[in-house]
Amino acid sequence: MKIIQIAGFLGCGKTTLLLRIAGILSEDYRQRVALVVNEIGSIPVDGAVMEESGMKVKQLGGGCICCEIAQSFANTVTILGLEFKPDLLLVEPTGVAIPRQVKLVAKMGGRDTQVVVGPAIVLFDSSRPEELMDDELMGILVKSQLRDADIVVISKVDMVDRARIEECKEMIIEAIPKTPRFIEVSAINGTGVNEVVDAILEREPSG
Amino acid sequence: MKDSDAACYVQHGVSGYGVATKLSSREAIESDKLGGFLKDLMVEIAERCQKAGAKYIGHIKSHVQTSEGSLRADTIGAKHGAELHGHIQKPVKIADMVINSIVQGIPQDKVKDCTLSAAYELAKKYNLQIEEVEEHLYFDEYDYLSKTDKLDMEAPV
Repeated sequence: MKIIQIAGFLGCGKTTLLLRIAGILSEDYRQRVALVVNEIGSIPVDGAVMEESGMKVKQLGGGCICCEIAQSFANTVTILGLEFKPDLLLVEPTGVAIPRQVKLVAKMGGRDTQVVVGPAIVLFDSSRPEELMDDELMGILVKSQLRDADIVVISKVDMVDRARIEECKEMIIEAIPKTPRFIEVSAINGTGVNEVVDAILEREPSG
Repeated sequence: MKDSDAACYVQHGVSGYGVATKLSSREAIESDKLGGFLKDLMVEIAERCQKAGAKYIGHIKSHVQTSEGSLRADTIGAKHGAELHGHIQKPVKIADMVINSIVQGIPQDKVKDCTLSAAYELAKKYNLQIEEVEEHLYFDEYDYLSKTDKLDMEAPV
């Protein structure tokens, strides 16, 4: 079981991307997919239909999986690994969760099952970069999330122009010590979605 | 490892409120009108939260389910406007509506006040009746699937 987290600040498009890639991984690549979602209202959708497609959906309440309910999340990882045996476990933490904490808890949960913790994919909303970076309190959090990213997805690129996308990348490169891999994505028109799928499956980009 | 008492969202001043409601109308409502209501509602909640002191709108989302299809609207702040997806095939008289408001800088009771006052006042303006079915706080266990029959998960391509 490979665990992939789709992280990023509130409102950056995590759920929309999660649903797109889960569908592609399940239907086009025949992956057995489980989803763990940790925010109220994140999937106001037909979970039954997703489960009919072979996915297992688990919505965790009662707190944040990176801190408050870390133990419950670890237990969920263990149980899913042992009972559902997914190829991929896609995790959507809350928009304020710290990706390295989620990774750590996922590893702990995987002690009793064969787990590979895959890349942390962190979304950055290209429609409001200054809001995200410039606020004192939120800026610290957003930069912390970006620092933990193996891949930074510049999201909502259908809403902005090329110059804005490049500005976002420059802001991120300036804010964190290591230049991450960037993928530009619009989960609405599909731009970059296959590149995210390729990254999850560790395939060469499909063009 | 044990569950921790120190929640990250509390440290960051993030709080949220959600509510499941029933919407009804004497006259059947068309998709455009219901969509307009939803978009206005998202922006109205965001504005009220900001006026109440919220520094930051995390995400305000809504989902309406009817027998003729579903609508989703959301905003990340009043100045960004609201996004609307989905369509209702035929006018309807009743609908299930869920709203989630997640913001930074004001306590949960204020988020609740802003969400509900906006919903009731705007519903009145649109000649809709609104009835609360169930409320939930930021991280309550909340089973959407048992509250709604069939929701459209597809993002538009």
